[in-house]
Formats: sequence, structure tokens, C-alpha cells
Amino acid sequence: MKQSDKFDERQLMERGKIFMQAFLLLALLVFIDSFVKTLGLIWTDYFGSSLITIMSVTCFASIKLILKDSYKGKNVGSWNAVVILITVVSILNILKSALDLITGGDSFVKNSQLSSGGALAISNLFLLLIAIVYWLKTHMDKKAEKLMD
Amino acid sequence: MPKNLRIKVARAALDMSQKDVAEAVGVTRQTMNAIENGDYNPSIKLCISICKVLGKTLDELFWED
Repeated sequence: MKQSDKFDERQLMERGKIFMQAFLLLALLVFIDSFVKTLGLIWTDYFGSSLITIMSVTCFASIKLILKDSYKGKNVGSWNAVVILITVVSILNILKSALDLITGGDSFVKNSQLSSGGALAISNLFLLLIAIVYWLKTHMDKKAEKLMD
Repeated sequence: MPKNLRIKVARAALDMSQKDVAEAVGVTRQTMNAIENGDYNPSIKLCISICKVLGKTLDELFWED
């Protein structure tokens, strides 16, 4: 199935615009990160900075796509399944991070730097935010459809 | 862009919801809503599909007076 079969023309146009914005944001964040590190402010390791950069851009693009009704295509069922998976995985990972923090098994900050565990926790928060926005929008769309009928 | 009330009127005359028309032309309901609200300018191909489903001409649905 072609990509264009999954999304209609309006959605394809919006997706193109948003992906371009996301690409520019990614470039900007990578530049800022490298600039900050060059100044000697090592806020996290390479894994952490890459993960947070990519996940923040993913979160930005996903939320914009959801709000513009261009996140899910015509086959809604499969998209719901994916977002259910994202919701469950992010909640479980956040709970695990919280448990590690409470029991002292891991810390978010090590040697004045954000640890890998901290970066993972922040990434999971981004994923959960995407899921929350998706479910809220789905709920609002259902209410709007009922009002129209 | 101004709202396209003519599509809404033509749809109502056939007792079709936005979802019905959207499914018939192969777009999402939200896209149909955007077209009716004037938030999206459809391609000529999509305009023709909508006209065929609603049994109207391009002038009747999309010409701006």
C-alpha cells in the first residue's frame, strides 16, 4: 500500500509541513547542544543528549500532527493499537524510573550531569505526553461527531 | 477562506453526514469538515469526487460569487 493511500491529500500536505518544521527543530537542537558542550557545559552524555533531542522533536511533531488531524490515517484501528502500546510502555517505564529513584537504585543526576536513566525517564515522559494528547483528541473528536449526528 | 455552505446544504439534502461523504470520496471526516469550514482548499480531483457523490456540478458547489 502506498503512503498516499493511508492519508488523504490534506493530511499529506500537513505532514509535509510538520516534518519540515521538525527537521529544522532537530537541526537547531543539535546545534544548541553542540554549542553548549563546546562551552564546557556537559549536561549529559552523548546517549542522553541524542535521546532527548530526538524524543523532544518526535513529541513536537507528533503533537502537531495529532492536533492537525494528520497523525492517524484512514485505518484508525491499527493506529489506536500503536498508541495503546506507547501508552503502556511509557507508563511502565516511568513507574520503573520512579521506583528506582525511591529505592535509591538509580539517580537522575550523576556528577552534575543528567544520567542515562534520567534521559530515559524524560524520553518516556515525552512518549506519555504524545499518548495523552492523542487520547484527549480522540475523545474530543468522538464528542464532536456525536454533536454533528 | 469563506465557509462552503453549499456543500453542507447539498449533503443535508441527501441526508448524508460529513462522515458519509468523507468515506464516499476517500478522505477523513476531519478533512471534509475543513473543506466545509473553508480551512482547506481541496484539489480539483477531490472537488470532482465530492461533486459526483453529491450530484452537483463544480460551479454549484465551489464557484465563488
